[in-house]
Amino acid sequence: MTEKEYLDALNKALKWLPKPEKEICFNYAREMIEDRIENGLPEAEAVAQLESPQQMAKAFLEDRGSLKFKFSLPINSVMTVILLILGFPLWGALLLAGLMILLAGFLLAGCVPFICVVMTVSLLFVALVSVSASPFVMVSVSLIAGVIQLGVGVMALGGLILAALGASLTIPWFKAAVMKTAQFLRSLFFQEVSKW
Amino acid sequence: MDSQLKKGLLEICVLAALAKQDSYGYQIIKDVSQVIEISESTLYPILKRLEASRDLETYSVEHNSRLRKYYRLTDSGRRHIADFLDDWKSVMAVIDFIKGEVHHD
Repeated sequence: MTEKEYLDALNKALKWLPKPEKEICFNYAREMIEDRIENGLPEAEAVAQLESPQQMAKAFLEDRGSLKFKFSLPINSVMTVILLILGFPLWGALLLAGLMILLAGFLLAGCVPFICVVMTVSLLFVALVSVSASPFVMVSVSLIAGVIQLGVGVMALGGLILAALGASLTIPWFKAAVMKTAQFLRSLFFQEVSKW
Repeated sequence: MDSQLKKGLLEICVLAALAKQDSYGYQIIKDVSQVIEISESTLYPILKRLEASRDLETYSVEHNSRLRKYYRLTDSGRRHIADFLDDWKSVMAVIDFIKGEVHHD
């Protein structure tokens, strides 16, 4: 394997990393190869001494994955603590109000996927019953009533497809919105720190 | 060797490899691998960790028309080595005790 092939493979294996981080890993591996070549090793040999690009990428990614979160508020003096305690009736109420508004917003937004799912299930039920019962109605009641029954069933089937489509679109959207908000709230009070 | 123990030892070995003079990745690998097995993928997280804990600093130097990253030991890094050597004295005492007891039988 040539140096370029190795680095291309590494780049590909690291494609999910943000660019600055990818650059650091990439430069590290390149330096290791080039220092070996400078040391007198042939290019192929220098590359062969390293672990495979996939193993290398795994090490980089695992290292990156080792982050945890630390609770951190900008409490840096006694004064801040006193102000925080004295101001609690004000900021506590505002914080609570803000969280409640957020919660209300999510409940409201969550209704859309919820309604879609409920519609899907109930329309499925209507479609099944109507379509399967329509031949009996045609025979035992009247042909016209049976055809209407069948039509209702087919309409329910159409509605079902629309509702299912709506659910499949709104559920991921809702999930993403919840995740983003949770991440934002966490970033207000917690700081990402290295594991070690 | 136990992997936790090895991890701790590697960290100190990397710091020790910088004690005499600043060094770069490949040189550190060459120096450290004389006594303990180390690969690029194990060195990388160690260097990152030691930099994060300010035991070492980095700077880049132009070398043969490319940049080479150098690592420099800080005072905190030197203290880290000294602490390790201090701790190790009590570990040696334990080892001597274990050896003495085993040979006694």
